[in-house]
Amino acid sequence: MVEKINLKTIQDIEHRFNQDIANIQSIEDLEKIKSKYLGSKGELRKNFLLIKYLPPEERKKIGEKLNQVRLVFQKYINNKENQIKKEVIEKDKGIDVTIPGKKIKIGHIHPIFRTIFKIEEIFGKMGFEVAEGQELENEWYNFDSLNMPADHPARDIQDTFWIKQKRNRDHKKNYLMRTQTSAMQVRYMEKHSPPFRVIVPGRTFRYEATDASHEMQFYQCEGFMVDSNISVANFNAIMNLFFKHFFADSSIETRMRPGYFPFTEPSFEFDIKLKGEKKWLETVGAGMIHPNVFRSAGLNPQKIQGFAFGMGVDRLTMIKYKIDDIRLFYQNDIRFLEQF
Amino acid sequence: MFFSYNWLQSFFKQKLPKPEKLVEILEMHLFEIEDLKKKNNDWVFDIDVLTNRLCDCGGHIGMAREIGAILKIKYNIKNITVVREKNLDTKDFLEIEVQDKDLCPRYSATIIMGVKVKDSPLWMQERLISCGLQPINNIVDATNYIMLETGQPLHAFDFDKISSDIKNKNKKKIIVRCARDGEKIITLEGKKYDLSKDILLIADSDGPLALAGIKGGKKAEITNDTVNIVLESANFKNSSIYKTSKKLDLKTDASLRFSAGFDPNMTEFAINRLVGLIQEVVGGKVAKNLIDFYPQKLFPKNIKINLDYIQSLLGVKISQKEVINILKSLDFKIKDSKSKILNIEVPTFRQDISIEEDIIEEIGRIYGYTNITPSLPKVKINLPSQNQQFIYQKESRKFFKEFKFLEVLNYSFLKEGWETFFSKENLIEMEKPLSANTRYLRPSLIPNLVENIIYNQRYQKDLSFFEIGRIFYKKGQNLVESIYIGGATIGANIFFELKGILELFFKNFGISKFSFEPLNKNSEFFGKSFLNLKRSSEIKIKNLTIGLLGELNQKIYFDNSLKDPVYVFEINFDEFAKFIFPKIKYQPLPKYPEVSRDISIICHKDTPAGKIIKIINNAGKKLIKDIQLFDIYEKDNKKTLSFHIIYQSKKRSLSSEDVALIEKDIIKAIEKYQDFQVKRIFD
Repeated sequence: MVEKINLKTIQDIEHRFNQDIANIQSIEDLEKIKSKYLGSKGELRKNFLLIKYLPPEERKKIGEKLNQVRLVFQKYINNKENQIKKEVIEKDKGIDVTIPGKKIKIGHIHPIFRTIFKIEEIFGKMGFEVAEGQELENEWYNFDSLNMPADHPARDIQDTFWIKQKRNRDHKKNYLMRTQTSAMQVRYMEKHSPPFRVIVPGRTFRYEATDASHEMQFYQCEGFMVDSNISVANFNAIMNLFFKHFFADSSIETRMRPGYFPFTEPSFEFDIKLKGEKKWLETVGAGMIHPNVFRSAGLNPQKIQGFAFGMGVDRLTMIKYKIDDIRLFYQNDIRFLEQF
Repeated sequence: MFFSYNWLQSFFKQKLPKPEKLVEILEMHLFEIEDLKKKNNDWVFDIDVLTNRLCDCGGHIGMAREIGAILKIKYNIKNITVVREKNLDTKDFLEIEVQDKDLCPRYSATIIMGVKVKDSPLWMQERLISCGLQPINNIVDATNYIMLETGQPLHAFDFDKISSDIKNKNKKKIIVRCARDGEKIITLEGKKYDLSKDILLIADSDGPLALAGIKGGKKAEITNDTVNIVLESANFKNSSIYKTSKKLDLKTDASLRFSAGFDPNMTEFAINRLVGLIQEVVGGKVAKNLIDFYPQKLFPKNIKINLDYIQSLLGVKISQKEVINILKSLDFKIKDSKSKILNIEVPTFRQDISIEEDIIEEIGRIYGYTNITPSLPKVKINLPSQNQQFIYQKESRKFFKEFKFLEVLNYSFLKEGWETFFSKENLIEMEKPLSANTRYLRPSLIPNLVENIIYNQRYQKDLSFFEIGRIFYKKGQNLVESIYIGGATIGANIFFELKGILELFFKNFGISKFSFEPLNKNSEFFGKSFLNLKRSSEIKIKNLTIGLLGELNQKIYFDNSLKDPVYVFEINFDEFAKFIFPKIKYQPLPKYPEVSRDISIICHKDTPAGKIIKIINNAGKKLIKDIQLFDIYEKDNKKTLSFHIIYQSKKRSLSSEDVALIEKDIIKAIEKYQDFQVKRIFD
């Protein structure tokens, strides 16, 4: 037999609902009540389904009553919900925002590479591409091809890490750790046709004892630009642009003075003076590429000319961050690395 | 190299700028000045004379010439007059024999009789001291003084201590020859040197008198008893002196100048000034003739320079008149200046000048590089070609930074002790290591990375480092250099965390066909020697081993008192880069829901999970989206692996029946293997 629905059952439901809702403390409990009475399997819905078993004259009355109760329940629930939310907000004690933040660890890129990326970015905008040479280089590319024959006294300045092997007459078979990124000049020129706009960042080596300002290993960035009419004045302008951007210092002063490198003629040194500083800092060795270097690469020096320069990446990084000891770059102390 | 302000001033009528100002002027047009110091009434400049300019700026005259050119004032050399004895001829007393004219292109000598050796006058001593030389006696000081003035190294021998010519006992004989094996010399300081055939000597018939162009010998030393002297002003081949000086590790004022290459035409000028000076301050009878061996006179070069090229190379227009003035002030001669192309005669003391660009440098620096206005080049706009390798390396740095790794840069050498993990024939050895830590190039990034962990342990507990750098090894006769990326991290049970990072690393670069397989003893990868083989894997892309991931050999961390295991990885970046597929492949969002089912499989405890995952994947065809291993339970020699399997179709919603069918296939595939058993499946 089907359960019969009448006003009494509805009153019972109302009664239970009132009891239930009076004890509600949280939104979660309220959701349960909501589904218990108003849900698709809730009490009211169940009773709605029973209406069809009533005699027709009662159906309307009971139906209206149920609807009325539903609206009341809905209203009660809404009110209760608002009340609870209000209480929660009022009860919130807040937080002490001055408690230190949680220590979050992040990774770091080495300061030397930060500098290299900055150099690459600035020269990239001026149309220079990046080339990388090899660290284990042969004597010919590192010295001979750069107008530095075997007995050249300039080789003395660049004390060299030689690989243990029998020295060969063919200098391309004698290996060493490159003393300068310039070693890449001829390698690049052999494989490409002018005009050139290239930078070569990379690791270089010198056979010398280490102290605060000398390392047996350091980074250089070579650069060269070659076309039919590239001049000293052009070099000066490009370097000025570079340093202004690198140090984000528009009032940086620069100067050029004579220098000497076997692979450039004329050769010069490029110095900078940062805003507020008194001392000139030597930063770049440069010059107009020597015709013999073009010849080493099988190019005709009558048709092309251009500048080449080399800068110490470690040195630029030291100037930028005011680091006073070059050895810190290769000690890899986390207290140092985490600052960049 | 030291220069005296007063001495330089003596070449000019006009007052020179103040020393500090002169420093600035010289730096902007000539050389760097290391130091400026006051000494008594004088100022001393320590000038960094570049090696290619020792030929003309190795003395005060040359420096005065430069100052004159820069300041546009004239320098004057005071004449020294000599009174020569009419009936005293050098040729009657001395014979010179040069055996190798390539190594000794010129040898000029003269004699002075009846000198009285004592201290030199105070003014001379002061100048020598200013320039860093110790006064010895009036003869030696005079030779040094003229060297400091002209740049030409000079030497004085005691005439009477030189052996006579074997054929003519009335004559002394000086022979310029190469040393014989086993020959020895004792230098003025009393130091003994063993000689070899490639060393050029000044000798007499009995033996060595001096190391040519480097240092005098004890035998014919000027002493207080010396009465008669031979003065030598010679020229030697630069490479020979350079090699000998290096070989004997003996650098002197003379060897420095000769090594750089010196003008043979200077010998006569210098010896005449020396003779005059000695006569003035010491006295003695100067013989009337110079013995001058100079078979092949060096004539000045002529070089053509084009005014248009000067403008094009320097990027500034300098008038013909100014070009000529600059060159004349440096004692170049203008042979022809009728057209835009000038014919220039280069003085022989400028050994550094051989091409047009060398002369343009002279014009540029005297004109002043600061006077060249910067101007940006006019070039065609062009996108620089992308260096993919460099970009991938940069991306990799960013990737590992995101996972809290710190980038390190280690030495390219292997720290002492680690060489025991490699076989010696693979290591590239240095000819002369600076220390035991630079004996070999690093054949792997891992040893230095482990050292980074050991070093930093005292500061922090959890450490993760990575490095991108070159490694070096020998393969047969070939020397191999390769770019690698490596990492090290410390912590218990973090193998799978690290593996997860590497999996993401590959996916990040569009590589999906990679696998981690148990490390094989026969793997050719170097790193395996310091890994715990039971807890390490090799990394493959499409069957090519490109790297390693594993736990460090326990012995290493016991030895270094590391508190937790260290996990390391290393990937051959050159090989890795070949597989990179840098484009992001967008997948449309799934239209149909995914269905998840769990499955547990019992197998032998040594069965690799990877094998079962492979079987499930193959059986599930394209409908398996993901397989997640969520539990491993071991008992006796069995283990139970439990997986969530996520099914999804791109074409339709999967019904329970669809999934049941796939599961059936999976169970069938698994149970084909006798020792595998499917335990239960549940929703």
